[in-house]
Amino acid sequence: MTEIVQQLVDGLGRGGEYALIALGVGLIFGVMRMVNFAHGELITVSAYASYGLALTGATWWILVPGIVVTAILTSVLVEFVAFRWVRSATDFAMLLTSFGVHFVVQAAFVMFVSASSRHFARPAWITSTVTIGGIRFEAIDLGIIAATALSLAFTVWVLQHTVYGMAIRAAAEDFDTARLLGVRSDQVIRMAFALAGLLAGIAAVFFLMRTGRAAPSAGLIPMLKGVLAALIGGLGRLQGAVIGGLLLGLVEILLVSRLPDSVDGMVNGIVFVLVAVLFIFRPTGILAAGSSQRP
Amino acid sequence: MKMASRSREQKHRDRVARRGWISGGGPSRLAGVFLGAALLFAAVVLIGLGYTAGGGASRETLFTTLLINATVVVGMQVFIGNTGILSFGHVGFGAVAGYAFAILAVDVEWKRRLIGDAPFGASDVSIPAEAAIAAATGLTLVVAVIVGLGMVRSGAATGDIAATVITLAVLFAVYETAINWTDITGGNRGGISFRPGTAMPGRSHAYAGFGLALVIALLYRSSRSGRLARASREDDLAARSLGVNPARHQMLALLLSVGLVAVGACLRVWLSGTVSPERFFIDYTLLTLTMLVVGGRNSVTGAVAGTVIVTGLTEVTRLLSGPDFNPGPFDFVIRPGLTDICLGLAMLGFMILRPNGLLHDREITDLPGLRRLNRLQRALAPASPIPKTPKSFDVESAPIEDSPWPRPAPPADAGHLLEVADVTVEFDGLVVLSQAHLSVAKGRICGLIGPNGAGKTTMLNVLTGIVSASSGHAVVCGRSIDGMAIHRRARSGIARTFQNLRLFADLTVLENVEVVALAHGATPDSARRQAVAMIELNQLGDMASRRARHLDYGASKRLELARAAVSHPQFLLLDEPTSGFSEAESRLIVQQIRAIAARIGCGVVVIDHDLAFITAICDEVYCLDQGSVIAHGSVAEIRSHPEVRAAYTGE
Amino acid sequence: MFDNPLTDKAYQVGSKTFDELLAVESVEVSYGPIRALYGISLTVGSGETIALIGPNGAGKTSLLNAVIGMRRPSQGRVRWKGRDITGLPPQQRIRLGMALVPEHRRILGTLTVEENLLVGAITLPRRLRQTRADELMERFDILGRKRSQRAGLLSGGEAQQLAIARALMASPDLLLMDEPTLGLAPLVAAQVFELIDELRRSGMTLIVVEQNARRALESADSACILRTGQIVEQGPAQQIAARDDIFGSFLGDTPVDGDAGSPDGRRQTGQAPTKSGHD
Repeated sequence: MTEIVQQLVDGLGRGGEYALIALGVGLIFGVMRMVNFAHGELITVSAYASYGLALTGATWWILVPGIVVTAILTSVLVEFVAFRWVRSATDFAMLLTSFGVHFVVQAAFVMFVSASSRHFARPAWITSTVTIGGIRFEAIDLGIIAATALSLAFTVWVLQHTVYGMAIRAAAEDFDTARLLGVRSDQVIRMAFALAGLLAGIAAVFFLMRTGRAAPSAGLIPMLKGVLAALIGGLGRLQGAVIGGLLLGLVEILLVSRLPDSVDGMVNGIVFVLVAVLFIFRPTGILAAGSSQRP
Repeated sequence: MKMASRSREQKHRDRVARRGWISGGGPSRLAGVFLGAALLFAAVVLIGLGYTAGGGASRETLFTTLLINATVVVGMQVFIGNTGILSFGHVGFGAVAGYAFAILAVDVEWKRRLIGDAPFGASDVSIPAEAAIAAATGLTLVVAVIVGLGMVRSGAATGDIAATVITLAVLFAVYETAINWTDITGGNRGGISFRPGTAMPGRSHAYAGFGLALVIALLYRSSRSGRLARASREDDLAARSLGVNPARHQMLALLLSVGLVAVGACLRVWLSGTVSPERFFIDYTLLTLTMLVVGGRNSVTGAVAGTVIVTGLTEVTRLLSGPDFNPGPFDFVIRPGLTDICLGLAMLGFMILRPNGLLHDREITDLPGLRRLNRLQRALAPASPIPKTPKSFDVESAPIEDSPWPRPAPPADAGHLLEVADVTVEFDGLVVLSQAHLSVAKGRICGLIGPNGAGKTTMLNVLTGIVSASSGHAVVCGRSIDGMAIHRRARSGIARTFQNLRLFADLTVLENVEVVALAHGATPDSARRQAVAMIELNQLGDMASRRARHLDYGASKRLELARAAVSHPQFLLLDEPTSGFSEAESRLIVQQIRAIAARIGCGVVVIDHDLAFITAICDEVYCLDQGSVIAHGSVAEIRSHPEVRAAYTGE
Repeated sequence: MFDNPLTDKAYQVGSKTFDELLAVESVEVSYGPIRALYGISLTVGSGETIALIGPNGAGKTSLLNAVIGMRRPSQGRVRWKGRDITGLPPQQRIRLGMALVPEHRRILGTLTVEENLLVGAITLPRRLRQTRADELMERFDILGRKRSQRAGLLSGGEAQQLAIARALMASPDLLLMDEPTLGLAPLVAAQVFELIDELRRSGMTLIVVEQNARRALESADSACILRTGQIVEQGPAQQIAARDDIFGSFLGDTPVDGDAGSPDGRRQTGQAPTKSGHD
């Protein structure tokens, strides 16, 4: 029992990170119909930003806002520099554009910093544990769950109760109609990227607290997990992204704890294959109503 | 005088038939493929030899690497280009082949030093490298079959993210397996390497691989399967509605593609003398994909051109970042990572500015020079058939014996009806069709009218299987088509056009029609003949080699009609054939539809809003309103029917 | 809209005089190689109601798209209150006082009824937005009752009311309606026409694309018949309605060899069964 609860919390902690990234991927897909393979670069850039800040002696009190702001700015900047040009391109071109952005950012860090990773101090409390009702939890897991819950609540509030959120939801459902009603397409896309950047930034904070490491490919795996989570839930469905993320986290923890040690390093690959198998039967995600029938 | 004009006409037809002749059948097609492959091969070899003439071992290696990468990229083109599905997984397949090859080819003693006593007795086997390539390719194909079945099951179509994620899963699963299954792969450190001093592959191996890739890719491109795959790449739904089963062609494309990538990967491992997980991961994926999209993923020539260009680019960046180069004040740019950043920028630039690459789908076999060579070859081998087409455009008076189509079978007694009974369709609780019925005999033209939103198009969608009805039955010529897949319905005798044009936009007019004939089992020659005849019948003869996307509206509409009719269906379903037509054009299309229906002996169901057109063409009319048939009868009966008038005019 | 003997800003239709609000000048619109409009010119006066009729594919929706800015004309200009707005994106035209009730209604089904209305006034300041929404939910009481329901659950007639209310949110000067009775039951369609009449009486300028040509003409000052991207006929609505040659060919009545269709149609033309209810 104890073990199950611990794993559940562990899984939710990890899944929360994925959910935050997936939500961003879903938001961007909603307004642009693009699966953003460059979403992980927000984490990469934030990682280097916090490395740079840490070099100047900044504490995590400064790093946290630094990371979040960097992620937001990067997200908006990437949209401005690259994605705005492919708004009406084919799916193929959009996918490869985001793939290209991923590589340019990654290579830029190899070129201007180093191919090897840079480390910075993790916060002291990261390894501490909390005992609640006789069960020990890692503090960071609880932190992530709390932050995820707060961010989700904030996102829901923005989407449901602000005019920007309404515009994003309108555009995500039917971009042309939204424009016809006076929604500014530039603005709504920028807003979606900013919000996605914010969520990725929060995910990055915990990711970086855990790893304390900046590497050119730091964002790759979190991005892939986020994309998978968004796809599992069904692209463009925001609640789906959250469910997909949590599910992915739980499955991963389950795999890690149940599989023999010898295949521990293969968890990512196994998760990928599981998701691929899911897509074979449900190409549009678990929340989609129909299966292979196209209208 | 008459003779002269006829021979001019004949010449014109020959010209039409010869355009894009490469996609015809028989010896001319093979000749074209080999000629094209030879030209591409010669071009690459000339460039390579020119560069290596400067001397230096690194240039020699670069040229061999170029050939090997070209093999891989051309292999990827076979799948990505023909199906339009973006794959990140080909490099993963390459890794499977590379490891299998290394494990099989490295000598026993050396292998035991690297991985000890590997499972499956792998440490005790060593076979000649060439045999190892064949075996590794075979093994990789087995993996590809499994992946392919999954991809096809997911209903993969162009730009489908689910299919792309499946390929991404291949890449990651293989990568992590390679890292973790240390018993057989040697893990992340050294991987598996050949004993130092082992003979490298000669240039001849690389030549052979590249040549093989060119021939297979060009063959597939011009094959029936390749052309059908491209049709579904252009419009999956239209292709299926016209009888193409994309699954089969995607599968074949995947297998050929993976086979070539496997060969290229084995050579790559052999050349470098080592295989490790990182060598077949994201970086190589970026490199090969960039090569593919820079030149143009839709043609083999594009893939080769992209490989040469990108190789040149990486060579420049390599020289720039090398120790011998003195960058002077630009020292800050000359760092590791320069190559990747250039590749990434190249990919970005092309996706933003020229997403179809330098060549789009221009192929070496389309060169006018090659066509002339073909004519020469034709002269030498006069057996190659020149299509014969109906002599006159006066379609109604043309005797049926002259028709290139098989004569219609006389309608069987019971089985010459299209019958729909009690069909109900609901979307999200909204009833679109409610207990609708329809019965059309072969040889009759039946109109389907009603206000917008009455369920007319849904009726066609139910018949073609695009929409599944919640209840009801449909029978074609005595055979139930309930639950049949879209392409099977098409093959059982239903063909349709679409309300909004769904042409295969990047294919030529001739190809648009030809692929449909091919999908219905015509031989390449007969498909060509039927297609030429059909486009001439629809006054499209002089546009045969134009891309469908560049046609004007009227021609596009006529092409849709030609494309549907070429399958000589039992029943032809036309969704608003006159929308956007002037009265004159509408009158013309009346004749055309009549002529085609008479020729094929099919029944026609036609939806239209133009009541003048409906009056002129239909033997009988059904009127739908709010999902139900409110009237059925002759045109005159329908026109005077009070409910019809009410539904239409609101009176 | 017709030859203009008065000034270049005011003109006459039948007995009414209008000031120019919108002018479409030789506009051509293409979708790739497919030309949808061939040099259309049309003037719409303030307070005028124009019925735009013609067969499917004639270019009616393309014309509305050119007016609202969803399609940039390849040639020609669009002038709004005397100002050239040809290159402006739709969101700016909305701010200038246009609104569209799109074909198929295009309700945002995942948003609530109230949110649909609020999005319709996204160009207005926040407080005004809510006030307008409340006003319209009072006017369309069914929307008020279902204000927090997902709009996707509305029936066809309710959804059409929502689409119209949504377009009215920003208090436009010009309302474009694309097939507002599409797929509606006759009774509901009649209600929509009553609403159109009401808007017209309130002085709003309307361009209505409608399949039910006869009924549309009853509610219009002038009419404009499109065919294959060209205006083939235009004139005061009553005149057009009386001309069976045009009207008949649009409905497919002409080529019939003297069956019941034409006389029947002619008889109906003069009558205005629903109109009596208004006065």
